[in-house]
Amino acid sequence: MALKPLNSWRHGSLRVGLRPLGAPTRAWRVAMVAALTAGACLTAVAQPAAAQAASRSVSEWLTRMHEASRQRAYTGTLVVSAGASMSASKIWHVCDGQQQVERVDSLTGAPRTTIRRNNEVITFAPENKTAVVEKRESLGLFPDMGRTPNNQIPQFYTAREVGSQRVAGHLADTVEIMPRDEWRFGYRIWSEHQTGLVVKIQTLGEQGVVLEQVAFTELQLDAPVSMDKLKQAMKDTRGYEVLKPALRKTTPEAQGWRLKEAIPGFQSMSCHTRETGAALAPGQAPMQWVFSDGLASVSLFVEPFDEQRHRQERPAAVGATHSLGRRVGDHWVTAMGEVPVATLKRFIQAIERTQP
Amino acid sequence: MSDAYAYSIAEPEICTMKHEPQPSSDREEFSLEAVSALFDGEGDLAALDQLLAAEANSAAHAHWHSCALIGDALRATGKGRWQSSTAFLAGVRSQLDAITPANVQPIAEVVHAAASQAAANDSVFRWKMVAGLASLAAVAVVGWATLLGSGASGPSAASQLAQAPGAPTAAAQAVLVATPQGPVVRDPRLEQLLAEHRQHGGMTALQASTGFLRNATFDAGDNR
Repeated sequence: MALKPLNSWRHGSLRVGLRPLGAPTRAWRVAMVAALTAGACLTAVAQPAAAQAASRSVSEWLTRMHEASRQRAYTGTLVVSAGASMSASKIWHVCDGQQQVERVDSLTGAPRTTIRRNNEVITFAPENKTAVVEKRESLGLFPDMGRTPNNQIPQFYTAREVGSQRVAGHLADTVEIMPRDEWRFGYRIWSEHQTGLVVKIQTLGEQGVVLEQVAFTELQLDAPVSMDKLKQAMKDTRGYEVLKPALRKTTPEAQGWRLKEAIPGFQSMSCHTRETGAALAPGQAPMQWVFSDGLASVSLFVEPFDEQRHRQERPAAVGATHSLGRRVGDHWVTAMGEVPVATLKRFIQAIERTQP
Repeated sequence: MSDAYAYSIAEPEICTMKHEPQPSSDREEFSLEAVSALFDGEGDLAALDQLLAAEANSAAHAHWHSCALIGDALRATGKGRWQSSTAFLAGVRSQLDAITPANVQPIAEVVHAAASQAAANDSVFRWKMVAGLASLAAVAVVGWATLLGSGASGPSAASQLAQAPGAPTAAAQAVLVATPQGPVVRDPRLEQLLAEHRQHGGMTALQASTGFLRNATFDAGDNR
């Protein structure tokens, strides 16, 4: 009887798989240099055409991008690459000016379908037949671009049109939105030339290093997307266990916390606690306090200190999202956001207990 | 079904690792190998007959169980049988503990060298056990270093992993999860906060256009 050898492809692919994990930086650097060189060439060619738009301010650019998604239906494939990992999803988007409905089907990792109507979001996980229903405050926050903290964006960021490039088959204007200080990252944004729709974003760290990229690889503008069908799909939870995470709105003051020093540009946006099921004394439920400067956001998570779980005071990073933890009395504070570690450090050094 | 294949890449590595310290007679070796192949849907009828006949062969059955547990853990559906199998986790952990920084590096180098020679040792089963162990260790070290940020170098990250304290704590601190890039060690506590930050903390003017799409795309990739 012939012995069945373990297939060599399995081992082979794992070995190959080691390489991107083991030496991601060099490969990235090469790719980035190539991309930047290509960008520079195109910039030179596209200068005359871009001249008329070059005078748009940060606010004008952001308003244009925001309006583009409000007026339009499209489908496409979106890729997010952060560090060594890459995720992709299929997107449907439709908006009639009042209601914005979107569907996101994951193409990588576990199968997920996320559908949102304005700030109502439902996430279907077919593998374990659960559907998570949430209201995301963040999605309703910036209905028009004139309000805080958007109106302070020009104080902390500058915009510069650097040319145009083709992304997902569409000509797009490239805009660099760069920070005026060291407490935030910069963004390079590709905005579709006709409509202003954002088709690609790079988050830029120190010295312009690309920390994270989000881009459409394929995009069909003005696609026939049925809002009714999407809304129906959102309600159809047959066969799924519907879960609603218990979030309770609160204020940092009520929970006994404050910042003894403001971090430039970052304003408190929301605060909530998460019910854990167990009966907890006031101030003991895990709290999430969210700040934003209009483009970047920081979450401060406060939990009761647990010697077993909380020991790592070193920073961690996934793409542009960094995190840093610190013990504050009987609590553990984790600061997390799309900002430099130095900014997170200021946050966790500024937070203090106002109650025993 | 396609999922089972997608993650089967890593399964034999860990399965062989678990059984490495056991004395292996020819008969048992064949059985374990056949089980691994069968689990991937690749065995032939004869192998299946032999497995079914081997009712008394507890090693083969334990191996089958391990493969199932690993499949569940890597798919990370959250409700799998694997959650109860602390014994298996303890086994994996004790193997990882046994790897000191000194012996990780040389083995990992050997694996890279082997990759370029296209497996002249393909038929040697024992070699695969070593390679499997080394691959897992290297992936674990790299994954851990990635998670902890750029400051951590390979050996020091490995020593951190090796020093992971007693059973319940270590289980809560780091788990192996499947990502599109292969298995990676992750801190479930930070993962949870990351998911919450993306859901409720993404307060940006870009949210309405691409922020939500970015976060929803991420969520799925993270196997949350």
